[in-house]
Amino acid sequence: MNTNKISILFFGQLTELTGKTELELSGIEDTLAAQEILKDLFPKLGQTPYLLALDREIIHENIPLKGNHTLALLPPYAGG
Amino acid sequence: MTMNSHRIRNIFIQGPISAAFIAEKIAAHAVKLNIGGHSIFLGQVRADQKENQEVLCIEYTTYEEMALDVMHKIRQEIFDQYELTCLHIYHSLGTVKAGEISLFVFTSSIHRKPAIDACSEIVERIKKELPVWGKEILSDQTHVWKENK
Repeated sequence: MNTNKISILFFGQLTELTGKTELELSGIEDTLAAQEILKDLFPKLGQTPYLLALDREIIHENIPLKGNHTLALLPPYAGG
Repeated sequence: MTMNSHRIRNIFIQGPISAAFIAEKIAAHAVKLNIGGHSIFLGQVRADQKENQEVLCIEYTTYEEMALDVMHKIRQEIFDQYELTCLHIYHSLGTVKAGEISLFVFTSSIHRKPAIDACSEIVERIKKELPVWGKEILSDQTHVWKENK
């Protein structure tokens, strides 16, 4: 059984939308499963654009999660 | 390439970037006698009108570990692409009021062109790739989230 720990980080407007800056999920198969769970916990995430970063790297496809990882939800950037 | 270009540096400064800090950085280059041109970009917080209110300030936050990784990669690629002597980048975190400076990009080269071109490309890449967020506080104390276009 998958007993991994996935740290979820929220930034920018997503911290308001979820009321959190981080939370931990465990036993997560892949990044898509993590996104589905987060969407169930925070339905408003479904209407908000964000990028996913797995261990600080932007990902554009579903990635299997073995072991412990950090998954960050990044709303549109506003630097500069 | 400068000696320090492979080291991961912190680019973040709490609050606005002062004119004195910028002047100090310029002065520090007087001893580098192979430099023939500097290019500087300063990003300033604008008092935009939003929802019939005025932007008073921006509160910047970041995902620091990732931002420093991203900045390190941009720095490496810029040094590979342009003949630069020096490259310095500073970005504010926390509160920066309208009229204050939140981004300082400073490039130097033997002749002007690499400094100018690299400076402009770094600014574009920072806006597009750096995980930084800006909460714009409006005159009625409500806020909107800034989004780079």
